[in-house]
Amino acid sequence: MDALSKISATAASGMRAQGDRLRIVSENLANSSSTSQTSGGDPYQRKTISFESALDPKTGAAIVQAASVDRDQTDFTLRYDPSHPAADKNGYIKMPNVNPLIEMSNMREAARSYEANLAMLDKARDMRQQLVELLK
Amino acid sequence: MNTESTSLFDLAPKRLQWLATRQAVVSENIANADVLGYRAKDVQSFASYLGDADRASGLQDAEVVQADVMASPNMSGNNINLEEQMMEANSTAGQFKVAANLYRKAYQMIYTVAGRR
Repeated sequence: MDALSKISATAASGMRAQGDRLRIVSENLANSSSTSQTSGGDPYQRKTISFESALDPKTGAAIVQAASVDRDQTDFTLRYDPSHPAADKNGYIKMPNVNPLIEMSNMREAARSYEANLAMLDKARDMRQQLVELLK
Repeated sequence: MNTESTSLFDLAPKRLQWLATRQAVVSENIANADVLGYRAKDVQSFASYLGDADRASGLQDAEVVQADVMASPNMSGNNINLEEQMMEANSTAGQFKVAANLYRKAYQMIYTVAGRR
């Protein structure tokens, strides 16, 4: 497979990986106040994603993919709310360890990286176009 | 016209091939910008690629080497700088355009000599 086609495969894999990252961010944000169903139970635990380089067996292009989705081990914050169904016997409920500020900056970064990969895809298409022009 | 002495028809495909490989490596760098411990890559210089290409038969892919980038690795051991890589991508695309246009111009010269346009 020629270099220009590999660019498309690589950039597309980058876009997919950043899309996965964005999905994790949206899951975290959506669950930012999901408490436990049972009294004193653990609430939603923030998810994190990490990437790894790999080789695409079909095209031979170097690609990037999501390596693993882990759980953030940071402590939960406590909130006093005795009337809540998830409250323990002292009246405290555990809130998810999701920080909206971190999620928002993560989201911005994912969007920027996505754009960079999209720009590469565009450049590769332009270069291919230059080659096709040679036929005219 | 002696095309061998100018060797443009020999040189242009090599230049295009080298630039295409380089762009592929830059796109790998950009895709891996968030990978733990990933180090920026580049291809060998065009001069050394020409030396290798003279010895080999047919068009070869340029050799991939570690890039010496200005950015120092961040906390995850990754030294990709998106801005730097985008600049590389832009300059490579521009040089590709130059090489492709030169190649076409050379053919137009032959057509002119042959009395066709």
